Amino acid sequence: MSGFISWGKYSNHKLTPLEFYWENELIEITKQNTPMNVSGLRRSYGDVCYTTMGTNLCTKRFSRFIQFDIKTGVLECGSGVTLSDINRVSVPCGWFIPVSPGTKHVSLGGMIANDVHGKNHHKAGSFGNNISELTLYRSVDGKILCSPTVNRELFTNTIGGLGLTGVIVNATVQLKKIASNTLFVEDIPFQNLTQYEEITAESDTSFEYTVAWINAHSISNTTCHGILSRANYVDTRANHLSKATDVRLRVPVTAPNFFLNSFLMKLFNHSYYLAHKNKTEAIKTIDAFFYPLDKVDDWNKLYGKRGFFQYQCVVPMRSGIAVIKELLLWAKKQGQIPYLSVLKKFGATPAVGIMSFPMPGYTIALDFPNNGKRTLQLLNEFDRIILQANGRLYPAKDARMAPSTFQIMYPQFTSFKQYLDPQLTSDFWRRVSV
Amino acid sequence: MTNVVVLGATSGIAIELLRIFASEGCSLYIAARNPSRLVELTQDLLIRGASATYSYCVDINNISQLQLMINTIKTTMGHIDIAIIAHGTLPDQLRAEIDMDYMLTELNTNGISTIAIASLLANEMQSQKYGSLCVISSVAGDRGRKSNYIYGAAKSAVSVYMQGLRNRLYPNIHVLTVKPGFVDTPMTRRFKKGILWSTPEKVARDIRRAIDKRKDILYTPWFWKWIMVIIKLLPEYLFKRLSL
Repeated sequence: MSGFISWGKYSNHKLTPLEFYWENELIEITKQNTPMNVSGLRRSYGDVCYTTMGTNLCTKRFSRFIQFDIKTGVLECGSGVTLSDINRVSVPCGWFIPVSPGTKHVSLGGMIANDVHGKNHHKAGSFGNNISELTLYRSVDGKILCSPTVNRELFTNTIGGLGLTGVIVNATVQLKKIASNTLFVEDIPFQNLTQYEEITAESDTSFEYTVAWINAHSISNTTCHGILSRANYVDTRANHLSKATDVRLRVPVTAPNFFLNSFLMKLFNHSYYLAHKNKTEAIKTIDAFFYPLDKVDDWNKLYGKRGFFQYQCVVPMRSGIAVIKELLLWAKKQGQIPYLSVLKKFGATPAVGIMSFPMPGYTIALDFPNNGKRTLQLLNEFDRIILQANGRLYPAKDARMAPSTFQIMYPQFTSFKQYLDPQLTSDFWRRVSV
Repeated sequence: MTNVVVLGATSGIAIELLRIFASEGCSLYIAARNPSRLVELTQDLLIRGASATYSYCVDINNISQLQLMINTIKTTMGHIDIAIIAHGTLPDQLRAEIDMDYMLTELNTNGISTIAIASLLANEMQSQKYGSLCVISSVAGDRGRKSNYIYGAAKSAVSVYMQGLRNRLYPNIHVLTVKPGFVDTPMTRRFKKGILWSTPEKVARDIRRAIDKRKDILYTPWFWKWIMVIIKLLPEYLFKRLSL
């Protein structure tokens, strides 16, 4: 029923997701033999989460908790359960999702299919590293249990497998014990990327969560203003695990295209940096630290009808910072400065998923309003730079990379193909697999 | 602790309503026809915070079974604070015009069974001298139209019955008639959704609030109240010519 096709809103194609509540309904639907895409809340930015040809199956209503062991933190639930619901249930009991993306409006199935990462990648790896078991429903051979020991190949191809290896029905996650629902957060400003490298390296040893925000307007050969946030849980029983209260705003209508413009964003980026120019310390709740953007529902409408692209890539450690600088300098030169830029260093923990995006290196996410051809040209140029540096793009954010680009970035693509469920597809997959 | 009974617990609106009660830590007694769905749902509600969950497998059209169910609930829970009747189907209007057995079944499911179970619950609440009885009727019961008047007739009977019941049980027992507009649930799966459509979460939140406020009649979402005011005001000689 939602009005958008996917979070990027760059296309105004309308689709009617088909919801199912119970397993036998899912089986009935898969019998129809039409091409199908499976998605949860469609918070992917690009086209991995829909198909314009065939049925769009939505797991949102398949959202039942099956088991939650308060002693061990083992949680089993249906793939449509949202992170928001998981947090509501687990946080008051002293457990938290081991890896959290930047929004809680995602489904468990979506987190597995995109093998999402979080601010603690350097400590915990990506989401798939914490899944002990999952059940797939495949149109070819029905219900299949997979784990690191049972049907291992299917398991590792499903994590990060973009929902193409079968419908994820249920999954079991090992949650992480937390001492409180508040974090001690330090915001440390940096003036250039060398400083960033140093602060990150230092922070990653002693802080569980680290992430940096960059003012892309400030980029030059020698400068790059930004703020590194690092956090650990406040370890005190006094800060009891109270239920978080939600103050929520909503963007009521799609803004006009000019609403978010480069002038406004320049002003925002500069003032945000100025406001954090000195090191600050604060105690924040889980919601405030992990999901600041969730306070505003439908914030994607701020970009207007044209929508936006988020470009997220990872570049191997050695050349990482230099390549990221090159991207930012190029964007500035082209007069298309990203509205929002977030930088994070991935750790060495290898992903379980064969097709997973994370690998050791630096990852940057850049938001660009969709200004048509100009934007696409810029991003194609980015692709060239990233390919040269042996980096790769994040399919969950992508809406435009060329098939050849994808296939070079993900050479495991060829072996992955044998695990596909022939009934499942997405616009993304049709685009990159030719 | 609040004891809540929900009939037709596996319906789209009931599931969302139950999740609200679960997060409040209520004790829940749920009844529906499909045993495996009941098991799945009780487990979900417990994890979501319900202090206890019980389930009862029942075919609500089997009216002779209903008193036994009420007795079982009463013995298990002791008292009932809130009871919600949420079961229902959306009949195929064209089939109901020619197949009389089908029509009677649908009238039973959406009208007679609801009235029967409401009567039994009302008697129970009357003897305990408190409680909220909430029944999900429909805006379709406010005026008959050719596209679904069998459903409308059943719901209309329910709405009128509830008026009488409210009058009879005043002031001790709160009687709430819920009249949802179009809601995107399994019952309405085959319809094309548009701007007037709402979600079961939204409707469930409205119902929860209406129970707290002891409202008599709830149109949800709110704008249906005004849509129905207009529809009810249209003179019959005009209305009969319309295709709604």
